[in-house]
Amino acid sequence: MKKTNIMKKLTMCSVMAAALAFTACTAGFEEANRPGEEVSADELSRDNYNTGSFLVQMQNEAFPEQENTYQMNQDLIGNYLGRFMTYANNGFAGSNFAKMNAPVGWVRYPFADSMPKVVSAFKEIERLGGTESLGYAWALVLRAQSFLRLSDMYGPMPIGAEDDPNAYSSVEKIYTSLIADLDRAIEIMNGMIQANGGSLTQFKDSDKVYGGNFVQWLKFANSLKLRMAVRMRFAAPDLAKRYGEEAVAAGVITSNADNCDIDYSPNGQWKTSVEWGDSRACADIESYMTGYGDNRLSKYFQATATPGARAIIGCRAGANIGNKSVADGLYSAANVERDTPGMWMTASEITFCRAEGALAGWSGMGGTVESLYNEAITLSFEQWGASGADAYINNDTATPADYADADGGYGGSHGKMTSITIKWDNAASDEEKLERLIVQKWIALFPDGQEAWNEIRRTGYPKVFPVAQSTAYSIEVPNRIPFDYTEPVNNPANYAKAVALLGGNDDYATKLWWQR
Amino acid sequence: MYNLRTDLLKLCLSVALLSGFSVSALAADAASPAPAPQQQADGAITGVVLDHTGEPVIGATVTIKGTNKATATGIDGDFMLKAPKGSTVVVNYLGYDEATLVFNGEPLTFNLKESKFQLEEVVVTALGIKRSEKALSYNVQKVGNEDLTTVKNTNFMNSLAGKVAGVNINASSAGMGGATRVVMRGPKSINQSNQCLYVVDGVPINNRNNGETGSIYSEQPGSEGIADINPEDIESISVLSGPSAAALYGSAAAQGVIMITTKKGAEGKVSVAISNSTQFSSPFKMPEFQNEYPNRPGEIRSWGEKGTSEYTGYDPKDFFNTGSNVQNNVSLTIGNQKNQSYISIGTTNAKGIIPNNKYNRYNFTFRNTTSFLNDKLTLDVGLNYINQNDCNLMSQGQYFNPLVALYLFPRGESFDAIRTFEVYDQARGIYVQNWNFGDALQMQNPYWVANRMNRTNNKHRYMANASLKYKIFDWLDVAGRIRFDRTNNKFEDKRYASTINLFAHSDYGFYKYYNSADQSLYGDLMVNVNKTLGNFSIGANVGGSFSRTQYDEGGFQGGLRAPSNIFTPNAIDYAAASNDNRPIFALNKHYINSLFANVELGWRSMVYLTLTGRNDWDSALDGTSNESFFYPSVGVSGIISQMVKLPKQISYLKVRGSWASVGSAISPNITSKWRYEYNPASQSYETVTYKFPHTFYPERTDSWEAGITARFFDSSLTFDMTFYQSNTRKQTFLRSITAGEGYSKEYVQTGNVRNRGIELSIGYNKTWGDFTWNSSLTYSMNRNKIIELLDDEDEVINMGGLNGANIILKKGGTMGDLYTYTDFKRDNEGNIALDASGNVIRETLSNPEYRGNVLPKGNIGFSNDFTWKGINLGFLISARLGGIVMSQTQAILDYYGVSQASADARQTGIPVNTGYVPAEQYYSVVGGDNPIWSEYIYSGTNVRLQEAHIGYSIPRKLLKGMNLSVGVTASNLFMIYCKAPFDPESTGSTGTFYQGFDYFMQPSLRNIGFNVKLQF
Repeated sequence: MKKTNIMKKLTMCSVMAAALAFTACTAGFEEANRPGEEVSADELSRDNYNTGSFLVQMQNEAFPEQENTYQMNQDLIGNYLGRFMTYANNGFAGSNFAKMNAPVGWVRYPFADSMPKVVSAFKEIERLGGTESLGYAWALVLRAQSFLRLSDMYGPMPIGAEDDPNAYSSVEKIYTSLIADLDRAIEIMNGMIQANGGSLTQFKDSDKVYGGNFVQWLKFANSLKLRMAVRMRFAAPDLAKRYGEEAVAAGVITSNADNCDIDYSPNGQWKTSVEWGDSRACADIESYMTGYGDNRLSKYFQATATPGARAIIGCRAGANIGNKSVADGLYSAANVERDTPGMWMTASEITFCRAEGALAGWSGMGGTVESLYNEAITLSFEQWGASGADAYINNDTATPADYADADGGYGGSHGKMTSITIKWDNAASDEEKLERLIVQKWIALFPDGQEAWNEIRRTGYPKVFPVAQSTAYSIEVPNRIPFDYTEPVNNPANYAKAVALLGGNDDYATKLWWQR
Repeated sequence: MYNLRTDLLKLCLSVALLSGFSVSALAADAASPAPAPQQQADGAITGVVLDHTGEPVIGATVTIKGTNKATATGIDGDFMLKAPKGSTVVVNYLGYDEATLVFNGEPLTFNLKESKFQLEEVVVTALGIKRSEKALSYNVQKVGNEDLTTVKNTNFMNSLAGKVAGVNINASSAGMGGATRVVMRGPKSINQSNQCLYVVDGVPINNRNNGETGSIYSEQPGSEGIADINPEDIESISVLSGPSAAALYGSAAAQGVIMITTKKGAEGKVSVAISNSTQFSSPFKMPEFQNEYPNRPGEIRSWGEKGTSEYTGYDPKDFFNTGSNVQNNVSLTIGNQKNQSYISIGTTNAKGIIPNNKYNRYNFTFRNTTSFLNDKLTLDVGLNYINQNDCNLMSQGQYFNPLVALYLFPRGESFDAIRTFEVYDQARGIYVQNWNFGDALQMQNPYWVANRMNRTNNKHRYMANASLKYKIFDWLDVAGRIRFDRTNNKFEDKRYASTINLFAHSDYGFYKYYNSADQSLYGDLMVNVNKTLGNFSIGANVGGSFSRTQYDEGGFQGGLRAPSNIFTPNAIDYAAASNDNRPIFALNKHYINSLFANVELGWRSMVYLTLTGRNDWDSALDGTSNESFFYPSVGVSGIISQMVKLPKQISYLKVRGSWASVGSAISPNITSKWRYEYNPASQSYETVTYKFPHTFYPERTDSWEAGITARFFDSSLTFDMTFYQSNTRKQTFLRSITAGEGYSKEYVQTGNVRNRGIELSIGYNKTWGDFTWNSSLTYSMNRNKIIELLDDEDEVINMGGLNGANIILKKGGTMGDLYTYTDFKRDNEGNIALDASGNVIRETLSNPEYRGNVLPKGNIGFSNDFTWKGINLGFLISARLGGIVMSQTQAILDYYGVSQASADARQTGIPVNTGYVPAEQYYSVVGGDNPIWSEYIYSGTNVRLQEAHIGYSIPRKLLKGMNLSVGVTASNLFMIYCKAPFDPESTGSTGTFYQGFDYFMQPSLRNIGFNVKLQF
């Protein structure tokens, strides 16, 4: 073989190999780099799946039922602070929200977990369908409920209403901008419903609440607006009146058939109270209902496993539980099934809102304070399938019971905090009227503990037992929970502004804007 | 024959050209056919130089006496010179006596004899190339087989601790078979693994390390791929602690390399070795408990009055079994000049100290080396089969950890009563858990957790490798290698009915299973040149490689339907979809293609220059414009003792320096468009809450090192010191961000983490008649500093940790800085504030406070071996200096009133300001789940007698030529100094972060045992 020949072949060879290399060096890389268990945006768009999927995500955050999220976002906070439930787990007894010293990981959980899921899903829906679509309108409503829940816990929140997306808005601004969002959603939904001859069914597969019935979503949006109007009535009476009247005029939830609840199995409260046994009835709601002889009590709670002085016994908030295995037997679990839908809002609550509106002199509430009060109680009895609503409404003697702890219990007994009765009394003072109305509204709100906590903070009613263990605070129910402890590190400038907007220390005591 | 050669030549030169390496001169030279050795012209001297073990010697100087003709031996120890018959040929090689032979026309074979004092070693470097130590421009430390097999461990990497400088080795608290955290020269990367790369016989191997845990709620860890290797099959280990040592291995080598050379067959008669090692284990360091004060009735915490319970004398230690680790091995070598084989069978059967914790491994190894075509073609084939199974590895945390309930058990109750951990439920017809103390901290009956929540792995691993080398000319060969490695594992998790619902998710039990396949394929092709031209020598390796890894798993998990405790896929309740009832499915791949070149130029065997370059194409950067990236290195070494005349006390002196830049791709899958995750609870796809940058770049580590190697007093005293610095830039962070924009985390690429430090080893080896003393001291220190973090200087990154005690990264800080979020509430004067009941108050700090650094400041290992006739005695003392550790175990023990500290404090209370706070009240605030951390931070400094052994080799003549040695060994024998309530060297996680945290970690083990070895 000659030298030149070899060289020629070599050159050929290397040129070919080089050409091959530049394509071959990255051949198959896209496929190799693809995680097999995840899907792409393109794939998600098949069968119009994407918007619906993200709307499911938003529903799951508007009122989380997934057991871990439920426990962290609802049970430990609202349910315990609203005095519906309390912990039976001795592991919680040292640090918790009732004692106003919850572990920092608990405190940050709702914000850190919920916020990104809500905002990212909302942005995807906006990106996919624009700002005129029905999906967008629905997403606005769901986002409003999520943000409202977060703001009612923490106060100022970054809801995207400022130039900097990570900047917090004041509670006042959150309320007005969420109501503006609801108004926009109501306008879109209304327009489409009108154009469709008064009814509209869409997103059937992805709507776990109303099965795609947007007439009902419209009512819910108006009802949410009314809930907010009532909440802000002490802080901004005129604005509250306007919003409240608008909402009722546009049509709110009035019958149990329109109650807003989500199909989600397993039910979060079933997990935390029944299956895990972390939560038991709170002494406050038990002593009010026991005293009133309320037939809903056995619908709310199960009889204790260890027979005691009463069939249903609650436990004091902040009790120093010594042994969960014992406490679980002494106190009553929630009477809930694995498949019980998760309740977001009821006709009863909204009727109580109308009653309170009437009490505040709002027009167009559709009845007198008394008639609406009675109607709201009746709706609640109907919702729970409890009998004796009429007798209950007319009972003018029963008062909350003195609370006696279970034998071998952990929280101690306590005399009743009030002698407020049930039957409406037009002659009573405004303050007594408010107490009576809120006590009954609070009972009817069960199991939505966060709304119950909101009422306690907003109005001071119902009056509740002191925390069973000593705390570092002079208040018995926290006015808020502190901000995510990582915010001073992750978002320092905005955190400083948020504390300024809060108008007090970043602790459990600083009152929120809408509190009396 | 000739055609084959030219074809191979074409192929290898093509590869060389591709890499951009200029070979024109080489090609021209190669194109003129060199005379084949067998067609030896008159006067051409050929030969081979072998060392005392029969291995070829590379780079030996061959001269013709009385002339200036000289050459150096090639890769296979071969040489060629032209000289007349009758010439005297002289071979010189450092560390060996000069050898001379007279050329009579036949090829010469030089069998070198070791000098009385060996000056120099041949070390295995990148790509399995053996190099003279003096040419190396970076630090390589060699560890022999005895260091791994004298005091045996289920994971041989644990045996390296304290024996090499610059390497931090932390055994996982998972115990038998657990993974090991090996970090060289400090943690460099914030988001990627800082574990070193493992290379077996020149080929990188896939080491899936399952030892990482991240929090108190983590699942328990598993073992790691490297633990599968039978230590008896290892000939030696080279530790390349710096990235410059390994620029040729690619990205993974930025963290340093452990190079393993396995045994192969030897020429000669059949040789058989049989060995047994048996070790017994007990807890090494445990918390101190009290058992005087019982609980009050109805409470779990033990804060009752003394003498109010009939049950006393509870000692949690009684729960632990004596662990055992029995390893047996039989190996056989057989071979002739052309064909050598090595066969071994090894068994490892270990039982942990926690009941029902097991680890078993069976290794089968075969290796054959054959030469063909007059020794021009060499084929080396290796086959391994490993069967490994384990049950209930457990390192730390609340989940699947029996120690939480064990340690906190109420002291006034009968522990004997719960030893019967299950009772028969007549109505259900099954045994159910016996436990009446609640499930705070996920506590259950510890025996139930150990026996009725069983996690098992059953792994079959197949490894096959082959290398084929063809010698074209004396100075040129081409070699190709391929390696295939596949592990099939079946994981099962069986939780019996009446396990708490958090874990069982059903009243009828829980079952989880998946099958996984972990596969890697590696191949390379290299052209190797080794030529001496006058005073100059050139060694070059040019080639290309590819690597394909793939991992997939599939299975299902979920609560069961009635009837209880049927652990099959059929029994799972598929209707109840949730995060816990769901399919298990993962599929990931990673492809890398590379071209590389390595050139070593030498002058008169006293100065060497090494240049390397590598270009990678990495699938992890798919979709970016940076899929292809190049990285170089340069190194220089000089043998001062050959250049100038030094005082006779200095036998050898070498200085070296090198610089390397290593690029590494980001973690796979990040850039993929397939990024929407499935949520099994809602059975829908979730939005992406990670924020991505516009493009990604490879991470880059630039490092330099400088070192000196010296030997004194006829080489009895050796000294080796290295200074290094590395800067790792363009790091990929996944940082938590505030949630307002709809993201929870964000990828950013920025930062500069610097590590600088010193590696020092001093050795002393001296023989006086029958007595030999061998001593070595290693010292390493590393300083880690974050030079830059994010664009905004004030921004920080929280890497998590325990509740309220987190590692936070800041510019100017380190990767181990611990900050705490809790403190005592203080009044304006700084005194501790008290509440109405006179108790202390915990405050959550809005600005977390710096408490110290979890990274050690330095590590020392001091080993000594004494041999007298057949008796061998040795010990190793190791120390870690500096750094802090945190124990939440202690905080919770205090809160529950079961620690000795809580008993001691009961009489008087705890002094606060000028008064005393009763212990129960005090610890209810200071201890527990969310403690005041300043009270639970300890110095990590510790000193221990890490290994000790004594052995005796029975004289050969007594055993008809057989070798029999017996020994007694111990590890973690004695803690000389330690202020922490746990072993600071034990780690709950083999990851980068979550270090220094103790949350009910399994105690580290003290092992005592014996070994027997028979060879004939």
